[in-house]
This record gives sequence, C-alpha cells and structure tokens, in this order.
Amino acid sequence: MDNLATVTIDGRVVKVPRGMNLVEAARLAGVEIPVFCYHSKLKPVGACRMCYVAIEKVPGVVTACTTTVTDGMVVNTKDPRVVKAQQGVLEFLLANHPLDCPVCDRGGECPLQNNTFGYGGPVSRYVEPKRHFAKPIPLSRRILLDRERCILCYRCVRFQKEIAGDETLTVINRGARVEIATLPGREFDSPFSGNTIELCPVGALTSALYRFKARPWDIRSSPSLCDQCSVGCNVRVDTRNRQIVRLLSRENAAVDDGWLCDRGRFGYEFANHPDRLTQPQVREGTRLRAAEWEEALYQAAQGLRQVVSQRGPGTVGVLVSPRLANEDLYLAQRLARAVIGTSNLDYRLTPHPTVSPLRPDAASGSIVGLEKARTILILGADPLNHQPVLDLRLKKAASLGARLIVVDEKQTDLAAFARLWLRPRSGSLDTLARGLVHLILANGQVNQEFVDRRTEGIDALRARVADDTPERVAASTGVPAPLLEQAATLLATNGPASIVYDRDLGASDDGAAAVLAATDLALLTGNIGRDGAGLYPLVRAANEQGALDLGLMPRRPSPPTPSPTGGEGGHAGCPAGGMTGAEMLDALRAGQLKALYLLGVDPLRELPDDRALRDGLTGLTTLIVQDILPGPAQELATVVLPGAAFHEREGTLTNLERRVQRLWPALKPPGKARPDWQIIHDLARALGTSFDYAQASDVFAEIASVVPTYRGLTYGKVGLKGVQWPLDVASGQEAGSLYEDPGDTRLAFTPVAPSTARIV
Amino acid sequence: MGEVGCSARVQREAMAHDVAKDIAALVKGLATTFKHLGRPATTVQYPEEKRPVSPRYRGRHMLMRYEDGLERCIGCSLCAGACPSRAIYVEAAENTDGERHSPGERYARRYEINLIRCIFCGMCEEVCPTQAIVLGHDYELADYDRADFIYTKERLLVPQPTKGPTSPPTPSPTRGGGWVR
Ligand code: SF4
Ligand code: SF4
Ligand code: SF4
Repeated sequence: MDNLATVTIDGRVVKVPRGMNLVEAARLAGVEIPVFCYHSKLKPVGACRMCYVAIEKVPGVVTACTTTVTDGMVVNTKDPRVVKAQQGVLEFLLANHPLDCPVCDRGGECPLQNNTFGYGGPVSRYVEPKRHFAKPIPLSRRILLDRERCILCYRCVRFQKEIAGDETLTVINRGARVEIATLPGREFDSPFSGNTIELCPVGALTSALYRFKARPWDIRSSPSLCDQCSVGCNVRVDTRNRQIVRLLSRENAAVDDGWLCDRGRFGYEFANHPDRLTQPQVREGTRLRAAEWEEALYQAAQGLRQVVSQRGPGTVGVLVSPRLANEDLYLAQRLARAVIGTSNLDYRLTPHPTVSPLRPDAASGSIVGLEKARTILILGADPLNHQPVLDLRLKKAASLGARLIVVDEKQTDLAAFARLWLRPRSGSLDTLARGLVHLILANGQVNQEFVDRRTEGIDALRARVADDTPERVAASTGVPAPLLEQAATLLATNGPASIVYDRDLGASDDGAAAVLAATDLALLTGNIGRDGAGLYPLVRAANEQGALDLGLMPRRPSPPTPSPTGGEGGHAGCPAGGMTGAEMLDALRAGQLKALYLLGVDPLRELPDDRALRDGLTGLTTLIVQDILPGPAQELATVVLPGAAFHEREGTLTNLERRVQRLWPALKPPGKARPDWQIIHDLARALGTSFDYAQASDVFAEIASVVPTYRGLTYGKVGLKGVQWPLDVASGQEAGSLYEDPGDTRLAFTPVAPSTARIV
Repeated sequence: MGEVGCSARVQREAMAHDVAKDIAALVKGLATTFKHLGRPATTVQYPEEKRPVSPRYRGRHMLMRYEDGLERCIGCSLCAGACPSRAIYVEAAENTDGERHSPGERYARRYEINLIRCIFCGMCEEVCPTQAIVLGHDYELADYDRADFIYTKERLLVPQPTKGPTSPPTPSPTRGGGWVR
C-alpha cells in the first residue's frame, strides 16, 4: 500500500505506483492522453505540449508526462482549457507541417494524423506559406529525413542518446531554425538507427527501403522472428505482392524490449531475392536441370543408398545450418543417425569450443534477468557485433545501476559504458580470469555458504590458482593489480553478478581456460541460479541453442529415437563416433567422404577459397544441397532441393536464453520450394522409412516427448511470446534461471585441464 | 345435387361471355397500336444511335492530367483503400527531375482497375486528393477476355492536352528542383 498512490482521472479511481507519470497512470486507468514526444522507454522532456491535463487545485494546465502522481490527485483530461490548449498545439504544429499525407510513408499509421483527428480543431486559420526544405535528405543509406515534416519531439535524438548510447543524431540551430541532423561530416551510422523510424511520430524519418513500397492498408502482417542472430527478436513481417516490404518490432519485453537492430530490420532482402531457388534440380552430365520433387528425392535417396551400401554409412556426412528451425534440425539428426546410420553430423564448420562443464549447455539466466544484476562481467564478448539487441539490454542494465566490467583487449562498444575496462594482452585472458579467482579466494570474499552447500572441489581449485597472484597476473596480462582488485571485489561483493562471455571464446586455448575460470568465478561468489546472477555463454546463430539442445553434433547424446509404440525407444539406432564439421571437411579434402548432405550451409561460401575443398566436393559420388539461394556448392551438386525462408513456414527457434519461439508462415514459399522439415521427411520416406509427420507441430510434439529439456512444450504454449525451457510441467511455469533448485546435484569447480573439457 | 343439365347451360353462357371479352381486348390493343403508328418512335437504334448520359453518370474511369500535361495521380493508393470491392491496384515510385510524371515526389508506376470487380460506386473519385481518378461516361465495356477487363494506367490515362501550354508527354524532364513541392 505504501508505494501506491490513489488518483482520479476523468472520474476513474486507480491505484498506481508512486513516482509514475500521469500519462502512464492514465493508461492504467484506461484513459488516453495524446502524446508526441513522450515514450514509455524514454525520459520525459515535455517538448511537444500535447499531453496537457487539468489538475484540481493546480492553476492552469500542466503537461502530464512531466507530472508524477501524488496521492489524492484529481485529474481532468477533458477540461475545456485542456481541449483549447491541445487544439492550439496542433494548429501550431500544422502551421509548419506540410499536408503531405497522401505521399507520406507514415500516412495511415501516423500519430499526428490520429491526434489531429481526435483532438484538433475543425479548420486551420493559418493561410501563409509554410516553411520549405529540400524533400528527403538521406541521413544514411537506409534512413531519410524530411525536415518539413519534423515536429521536433526529439524522440529520435533521445533514443540514440538514452537507449543506443551513441549520440549519432543531434539538434542543430536555434529557435525557429531548429533541425535534426547527424554530427558534421558523419552519416547516421548507428547500428540501431532503424528504431527511430518507428519512434518518429510523423513521417520525418522514413526507411529508404520501404519508401513508396506500400501503404498500411495494402499490407498483410504476420508475426515472426528475426533469424539473423541468437537474440531472436520478435518481428512483424509486412508483405505485399508476395514480397516482404518491411519488418517492424513486435515488442516482447523479455527478449527485445521493443527494439530491433539494423541488421535484423533491414536484413530481409535475401528473402525477396529474384534468384531464390524455386525448383528442384538434378544433375545431367555437366549441368543441372529442373526436375519434379519425386524425381529429385528419388535421385537423392538413390545416391545416398548407393554410397551407404558400397562404402558404408561412415562415408556419408550431414552438415546443417544453425539458422534452421528445431523441426528441421531434429529430423535431420534422425535422418543421419537412425536412417543413414552415421554420426557424421554437425552444425559447425569450425572446431567446437570448450564450454563450461555445467549442464545443460546453455545460458543459466534470462535476458531480463540481466536488468536485476548489480555487476556484470563481460568477458571477451562483443554483443554489438554478434547479438546487437542484447547490447542494448546490457546498456539498460548499466543505466539501471549495474557496474559493467569489460574484459577485452579490443575497445568494444560496451567499454565506454563500463565501470572497469580491463585490457589483457592477447592470449592472456585465462591468466586474468584465474587471477580474479585467486583474488577472491585470497581476500576471503568467497560466498562460503553457497560453496559449502552447492559445490564440490574447492580445495583443488585453491591449489590450481595458487600461483596466479595479482603481481604475476599484472605482469603477464598488463592489467594493473589495483584494477584486478577492484574487479574481484565488485564481482564478489556487489551482487547479484552475472558473467557474460562469447561461447566461441572457448575455441582458442586461452579463451577455453578463461571460460572454465568464469564458471569457477560464478560458483565461488554464489552467482548462479537467481535473477541477475547467471552465467551466459552467448551463442551467435539464430538457432545455435536449438542445435545444441537437439544434439546436432557427433559425440553428444542425441535425443532418443521414439519407438513405434510412441514411448522412448532408446539410442539403439545411434552410431558411436562420428566426425565433426571440421573433421568432415578434412576428410573431404582427403577424399574419404563419398556423400554429403548440405542443409542451408555452403562450405565454399562460408570458408575462404580452398582448392582441396572444392576438389573434395567435386569428387563426391552424391552431393545433396538444400538451400534457398544459389551458392557455389550447388554447381557441384548432384541434387539441389529448394527450401523455404523464415517467413514462409512454421517452426520454432531457440534463442540464447533458452527461449523457444515460433515462426509463422506469412507467405507461401516461391515456386515449388518447401519447408526444410518436409523435404527431410520426404527424403527419409524415399529411403524407405515410415516417417509420418503431417505438420510441423507433429515434429515439435515428438521433440517435446523425447528431449527432456523441451518436455511439456507445445505450439500453443509457445504462443506469441515464447517459453524458456525447461518448463515445469506441473505448474506450467517457465524457468528464468537454471540451477536454482537446492536439490540439484552439486556443481563442480572445473576439475580438469581445458583440453580434456572439450565436449566434442 | 341433380343439376347436371343446368350445368351445361351455365357453361355455354360463360363461353359466350369470354369470346366477347377477348374481342373487346383485341380492339383495345389494336387501338393503342394504331394510335402510336403516327407518332415518332422512342426506341434508340443502339449502337448506331446513342443517348447522352447524365452529367453525373459513373462509367469507366479516367486518369486525368493537369493543363501542362503532368499526371494528376500521385500514387497514394487512397483509392485502392477506399474501394469497397478491392478493384484497384496502385504501385508507386519516385519522381525525379529527369523523369517526371506528376508534381511532387511520388507517382503511380502501375495503376490498374479490375472492371469486373468494380461496382462503379465512385468512392475512388470521392477520396482522390488530386482529382486524378474520375468516372467518365464510357459504358461500352463488354469484352471477350477476362484479362482485358484489367484497365491499366495506359488505358486509363487521358491523352495529352492539345490546347494550352504545349508540353512533352510524361515522363519528361523538368527544371531542377522546380517540383520540390
Ligand atoms: S525527426 Fe521525428 S523523431 Fe526526430 S524530432 Fe523530428 S519528429 Fe521527432
Ligand atoms: S539483435 Fe539479432 S535477432 Fe535482434 S534484430 Fe538484431 S540480428 Fe535480429
Ligand atoms: S488516383 Fe487519386 S487516390 Fe488513387 S492513387 Fe492516384 S492520387 Fe491517389
């Protein structure tokens, strides 16, 4: 009760938290207060004067966005003085704003149109000429600014400053000549610039890509996901004429907080590409010719059968893209393991990194959980480049008071927001991380209660880091000892603390040891299993987490094969051993692989040009390439199968915080292209299995029945906002954090040398 | 009820009455015919002869031009949005000084009306901000091929004005910056 205030807004009595501004309070009361400059994620500035309200016992009218509620406040949003003031504000805005609506890309979904319609006067008394500027000037390749239309709400400038933190937009000139502009000599080069298009309450900032492509009533919208990185931001796909015309944010507070990065927002052109594969092709002599599905699948199946019977299943490889949906990945591994009989199966072309020994292999916390952290250690991760919208979340955490500790030799974007930036010399990341472990042990900052109750092996750890004294660490890393002290103290005493690192860090030797030390740090300080206290190995590709969960790699427990009676049939059909992607490519170069099934990957496109690799691919008896766009490997293929893009199919992706989210079909695949899971399904049938999945949800139901972490999930439960696995089947609650149950088995300090901790 | 003979007599009387009535009708009808024989005919000998339609008649659409020849349509798609039968398709593109179709930034690169779907309600004309789309007086729309009922921009656009300031056909170059707004 204490921190709630009772206010009356237009006769409706509501209890709202103290400190809330009147616009938000009115929203809770179900009363609309019109705004232009106010946005719930930006600090209020009171620039547009649209949100006038009258308050009892307060003279005149006041702006609602800059007024916080007090107990007993009585607010009237329909007072005649308010109506008059709002009409005046709109008349002034329209004195300069051109009546451009018919040619404006914002027309039809424009707050200025809506507010004028709802709150404006019937006519304008202004007949003089309006101000004129050159029609849109490009601020960047993607964003155009029409200065005539700008109403100077500063939302764009404030977004760049407060949320993106890069101040790439600014205000120039004074008085009536004020304009929005970029910094002199620079373009609007923020990686988050596209959000200003959605924020701008008029058509002043518009997208160059969307320009004149459609009007809101020409568009069909469908919910979807961005598949460009592992954050999995929620998007709305707008289509017209069987083409994507734009992607908009579909706010999911748990994932993207309503933002998209430019890579995601503008990165859909591949899906509209005129060269999209639309027809299966089979090889005839030196060239490929179009074929029907039956023929192409028959040829693919014959090719595989021939190699398996003549050379054995060990000469067949399956490489999948970590951008494919869970349904595709699951069927691909069943095809490889149970049908073809090989474990030469991988989603990576490069060697696997060493990862934290904690299981399951996933981030322990959630993305929103980071906002609760008081300290965040960012170890060799660069979210701006690999998980951009997560970068915004880390900045938000910093602005909420979290102390960031950035450990990176390079100056990453987050270094500017960090309390501490430690720059270890390259190759000494492990020494630094062990130095922090040493300091926490030496200074007695260990969370003894947690260590006693939940962990094992601390004595061995003590012995292992005994030599990593601050002096030695400082000498070998180049990071001054006092900085190390400060970092260790923050981590140990300013909890909850989270540790964020790039999962690929473990691919280098020093990175591998640093990853293991990071786990030790989390366990020593008891920072795991709570909101704000988590260990986040950041994956990069859109469904890399799904590939890990479903065992899309050799020498990793695969999901059990369902038995014909519906229950689990054990791992009977899973051949041991198997080559990783990198090993397969080596075998290919050595001519030891005879058949390869590429699903959405093209080694010739993704790796630097390599003669031996090309020769290896040429020498294959059977090369099946399944993709959505032409690529160099297809020139060598025996069969090419056209797949569907993210907005043309059903399926699920699992993001970096274990959140399973759904894809919906917004369009049909072009030509004869089909969703990947269907192609795998039909190929398996052509190989003589009884695969029988009528729709994507059937595949997902099987995943949920055989993969323990996905138990209880259905398309219905996943819904529009996604669910973080594991789901507590009894209560229906998703798990924000792993390892929170005190009944867990004990968590071990990294007991082994890094080289033996490699999982693959 | 034993009145069989009576019934035959009634029948005969009724028949005589009917014949008299028929003859009266024939005379009446022929009287009308002869009355009109001398009068001028109201039948219109379509298609040799055509009646003028009312000024507000809503026939086939036309896309209008300004006196200087520029197209009025700015490709705003409002007509497509207002159309209750979704018969209009507009695809917009950007005007440049080198290739100008209409005043301002935007013009219709493609403009199509499906006249099979159109119900000639005139909503498009009502909503058009530039009075570009106008329902004209042409009602002779029969055709043999369904595809021919899709009236494209080329078919809808009125010819260049021949009187007044002569200007080259659209698109055509205009003075640089002259059409900022
Ligand atoms: S460009 Fe748009 S967001 Fe920026 S100040 Fe002008 S109206 Fe506001
Ligand atoms: S952060 Fe990742 S998922 Fe989100 S919009 Fe950018 S690329 Fe897409
Ligand atoms: S005809 Fe009129 S309403 Fe239709 S697109 Fe052209 S200008 Fe807009």
